Amino acid sequence: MSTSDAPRLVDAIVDLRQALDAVALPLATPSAAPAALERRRLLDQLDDHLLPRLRDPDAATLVVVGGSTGAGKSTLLNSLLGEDVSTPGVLRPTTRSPVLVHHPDDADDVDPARVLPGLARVREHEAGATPGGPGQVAPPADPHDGSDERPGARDGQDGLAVEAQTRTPPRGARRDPDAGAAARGRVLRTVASTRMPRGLALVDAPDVDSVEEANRDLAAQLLRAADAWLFVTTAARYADAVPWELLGEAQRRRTHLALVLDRVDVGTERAVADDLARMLADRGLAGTPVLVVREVTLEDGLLPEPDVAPVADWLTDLALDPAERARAVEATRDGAVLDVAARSQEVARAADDQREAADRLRAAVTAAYAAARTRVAEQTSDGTMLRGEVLARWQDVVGTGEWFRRLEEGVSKARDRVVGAMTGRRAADPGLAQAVGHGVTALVVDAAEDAAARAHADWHHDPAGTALLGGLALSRASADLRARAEEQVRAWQGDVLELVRGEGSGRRATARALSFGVNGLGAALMVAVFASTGGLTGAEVGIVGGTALLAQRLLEAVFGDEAVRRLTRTAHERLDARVAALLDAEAARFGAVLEPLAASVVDGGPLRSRAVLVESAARAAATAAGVAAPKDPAGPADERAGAGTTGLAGSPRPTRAGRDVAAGPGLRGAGASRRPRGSAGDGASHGRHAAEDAEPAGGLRGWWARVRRGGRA
Amino acid sequence: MSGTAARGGPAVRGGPAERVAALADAVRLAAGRVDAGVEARAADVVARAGERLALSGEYTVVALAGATGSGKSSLMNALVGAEVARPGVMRPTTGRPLAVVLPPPSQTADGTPRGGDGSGPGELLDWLDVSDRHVVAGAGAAVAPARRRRRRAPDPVADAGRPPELPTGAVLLDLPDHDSVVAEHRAVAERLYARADLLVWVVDPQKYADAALHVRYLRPLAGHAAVLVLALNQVDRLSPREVQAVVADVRRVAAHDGLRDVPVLPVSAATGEGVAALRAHLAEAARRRQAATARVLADVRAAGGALRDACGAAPAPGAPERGVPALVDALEAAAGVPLVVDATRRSTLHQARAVTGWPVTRWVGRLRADPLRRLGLGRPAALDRLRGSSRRPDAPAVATDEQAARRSSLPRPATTAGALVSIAVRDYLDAATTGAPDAWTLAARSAVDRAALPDALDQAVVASAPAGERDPRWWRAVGVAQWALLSVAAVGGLWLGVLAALAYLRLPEPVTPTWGEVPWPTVLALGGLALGVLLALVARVLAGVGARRRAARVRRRLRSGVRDVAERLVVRPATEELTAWSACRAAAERAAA
Repeated sequence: MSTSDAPRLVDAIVDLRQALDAVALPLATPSAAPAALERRRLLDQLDDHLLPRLRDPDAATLVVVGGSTGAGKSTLLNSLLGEDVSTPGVLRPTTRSPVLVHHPDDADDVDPARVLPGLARVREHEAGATPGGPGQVAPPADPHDGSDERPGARDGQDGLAVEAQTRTPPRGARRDPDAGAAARGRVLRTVASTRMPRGLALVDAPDVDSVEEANRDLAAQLLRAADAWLFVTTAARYADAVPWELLGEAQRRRTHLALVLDRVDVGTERAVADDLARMLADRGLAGTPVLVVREVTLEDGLLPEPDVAPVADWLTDLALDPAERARAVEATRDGAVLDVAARSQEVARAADDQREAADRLRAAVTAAYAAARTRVAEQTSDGTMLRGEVLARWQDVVGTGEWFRRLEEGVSKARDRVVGAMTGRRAADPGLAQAVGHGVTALVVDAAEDAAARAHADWHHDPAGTALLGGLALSRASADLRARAEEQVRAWQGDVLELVRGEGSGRRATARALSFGVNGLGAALMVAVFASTGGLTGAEVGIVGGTALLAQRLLEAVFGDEAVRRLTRTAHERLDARVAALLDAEAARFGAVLEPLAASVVDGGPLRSRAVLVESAARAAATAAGVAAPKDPAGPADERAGAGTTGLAGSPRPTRAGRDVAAGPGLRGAGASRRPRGSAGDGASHGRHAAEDAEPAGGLRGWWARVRRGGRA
Repeated sequence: MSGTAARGGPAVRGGPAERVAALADAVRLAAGRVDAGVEARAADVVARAGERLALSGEYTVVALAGATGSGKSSLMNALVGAEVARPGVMRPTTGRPLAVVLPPPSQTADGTPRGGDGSGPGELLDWLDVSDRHVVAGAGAAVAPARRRRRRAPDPVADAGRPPELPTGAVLLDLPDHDSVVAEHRAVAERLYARADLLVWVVDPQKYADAALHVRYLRPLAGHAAVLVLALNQVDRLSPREVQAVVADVRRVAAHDGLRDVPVLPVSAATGEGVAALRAHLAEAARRRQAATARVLADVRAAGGALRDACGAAPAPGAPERGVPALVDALEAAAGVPLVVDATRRSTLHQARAVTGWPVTRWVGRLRADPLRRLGLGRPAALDRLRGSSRRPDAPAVATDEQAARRSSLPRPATTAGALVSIAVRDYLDAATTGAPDAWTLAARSAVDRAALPDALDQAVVASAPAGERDPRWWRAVGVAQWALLSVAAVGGLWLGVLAALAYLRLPEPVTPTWGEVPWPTVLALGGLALGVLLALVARVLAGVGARRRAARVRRRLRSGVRDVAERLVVRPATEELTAWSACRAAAERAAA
């Protein structure tokens, strides 16, 4: 059953990855920056660890050696391999580009397609070697050309196979990873060593607390890609906050983990190790092996064999004991799956925040300009336009102002005079048209200015909006608005004349319309439009009401009630539409800033549901594995593989179990601490307080141990 | 000698006190107008600097800062030559700060604070909030726990054990770490990092490149090189060549943090190597007694610089005056000033005609309303009645007791004109705030209350209304002359009538005197009429001239009224903001200089 579970989980995770990839966080919401980081990390983790691991459960176990700057990671790695693969030094930060060490037979397992695909690879090769095809093995060569440190350590028999690859960057970057990293981003050096047990790859990560931010990020990324962590800290550093944040993450994800307590002064081992064990227990990491390495004088830049023995044992067990390996890989993987699912929810929430922010910003603009439109519509219809200049010019149209006042009592009497004024084909007054144009333009511009200020203020108070504004340009209407508004108002006046002309061409109305003149009727219609809702108050009715009433009566006399209502409505609608077009263009300025970013914003829903699917798939798989587990013989891995019931995604290949130390010389010090005690299976306790009396044996540098023992004797 | 005086009292120009005052000004003026973080940090500096300057200047507060495990406590012991701090192998070790007081040479041997300026180490330590205190008395005395000790008294140090060159007039602080999992340590350490006068950053070969140290602490201290020392501890773990390399690298990293000139001293608390040099460095700093002032100055300078940068470029002089004429023009138009001026002219003509016109046709003019009265700016009707005017009492003038409460019936500037006012104000603000940072521009914009403008403009028009002017005296004279001429004409007419009646009744015609050939009645009747019309015409021309003059006067009055409104409601609020901006920038500049 788990055979079907595994693909299901893989599919669910592939879906999750797609959803995660689709999430864009372009708006500066408070949650965006952390979520973008989280998204990047999740994608890295999926690509670097989970997908390769789920697709190929048998690939080499990736153990990342991580830790603080100056903790001695590189020295430890070199001491384990008995070879100088990573450059230690007194200057911080030391390891600037990570090194991946693997057994030559595992070259395929650490192929970029399967492990850490996000990192460019550099395989070290001799200067002058022609870059060959992928997988081509160049003759063994000294990788340390140009390096003046520890010439004695160049030891061909340690089997450092140095390869060339098509991806090999220009030679200048080879021994200067800094330049390479700066030019290309992140680079991973790979080194094949027969010292490594098969099925195990070690990565020397940069410092987790380096002053170089890129180093920190890369270290965290590598740790997230690991099947197991070998976390190196020191007696001076073990209480640092930064590493403990990462250890907290490991705890949350149930990553398989061992701590190396490095550089412990002789005599303080127990006190410090106990204190560290207490801290681990306090943070839910009780039972994590603490491997103590003393601060001793280096020999040829390497730690003495007995001192690295606990670490070597832990690693060798992980590589060679199938049960241990499966336990580690699965625990890490299962924890990571659930962790990814849980953290995806946070990204989904941030995606929702993005959507909300985009909607909120859009709504602020829409509301501001809708209010502007409403305001213009009201002001052009409630009669208030008919004050001041427009009124004066209208009075010019219908006769003298002085007379006009007296016409309030008898409109019919006035009409005669108006008719007199109109029939004289008196040019209907550029004055009125100008006054109307002037007034409406001012209203539109003012409304647009207010809307811009309001939308700007709303955005300004929104973190996502502030980031988009970039100055005060958007707080004002666009500079050419006045010109465009004038143009539109003139066009509307043309509309009004057109309407009057069109209405006047009707049979009955024609004659009368002609007698009044299109221009005069147009002016009357504009006046009627401006008072169409009749929202006049008190004393104004005297003047304005009279004005409007006159225009109304005049139009009714010419066209009839029904037509006048229709004309008024149509004319107002036309004005409204033109104003709306102007304001829409203004609002579009905000859209032009927002939409390119907001267009890519997606809902967090799909991501959320896929995360839930992943979680349920993972739990189903875990349940299946749990049901199967009791039936699972703890013994031969072949059987377990045949049963196909371990863990979420199958089990290790049988061939893995067959590997043994004989494939190579093995890690330096492997078995050294155990041999005297004769307990090979005690995984939890081995290595604690690397006994000074441990008997070093085996390994290529066993002579040293013999010398030491001899000396002590 | 008082420490405050030694460091320059408030009177000293460019002295720390003045700079702190300048920074305080800048903070006050910048409130809410600059980035909140910059403002808060500057306010912090003002408070802290003021407190530190008020406290004893006889003591230099030297803090041993650094990460856990770098050997701060060991170094403290090595410096003092006694086991005052307790280093440990378990991390983190030191949880509470520890002070070692090294009194000035003049002070009493038992470390009792002298009277002096009344602020001995006690107050200083209270301000630092350090309760673990040890006093190392002058030569010949021993390390003694202070009265407020919390720890067991350390073993007294023998005379010979007291290292020479120990700084005098200093408080050495052993601080907790800033980078361990124990968050309280960090809080305590950071508080004291801010308050110490001289910071000795204890780094070690393992940790000197930690991000926590550089990003969080050293980079913000760029510009503080004078009050920083980097002590590279644990050099006994390195070979001499490595020591040189690491020291060079520490310098490189520090230079990258903006601390090019900071001294880097290799020391080893374990072997005592370099401790004497560090001690001498501290002793020199304590002897000069400048560290406290230097620290305050560095803080104030940094905060002032940040504030100045937040204030943007220096304002152009006279910016607020730019655009005022255009603003007044626009407000005039919106307030209907041209309308009122025109109405004034026509109203004057109207009134002149009513008084000086030919009495026979004068009534025609009365049929029209006074243009000013129609705007609600005419004389109150009651006043007119008092003067015996016969104008219609029901004219739509609003007469209330208070001039200020009067409103004109000018077209309300609520829509078109209101929009024009808004546009004019915006244009003015744009011109005035050119170059100002966004926050100040927005502040200036919101300082102007556009909604109050229409009413204020209306009030200004009413207040400078033309109605108050007295009519010219010649009007009345012409009026009298008109009636006299009309009377003459009437007499002539009557005479002619009598003559006509006599003729009609065929009565004997009395002798009619003649003026030359023309009989007097005819002369009187026609002459009276003709002269009356002529006088009316002449008066009208003259009244036209007077009306234009009056209109011009009214125009000037209205313009100044509108200008006042513009000044009061637009220019002044905006200028206040802009002045605050330039004052803030200048104060920050003074603090940073």
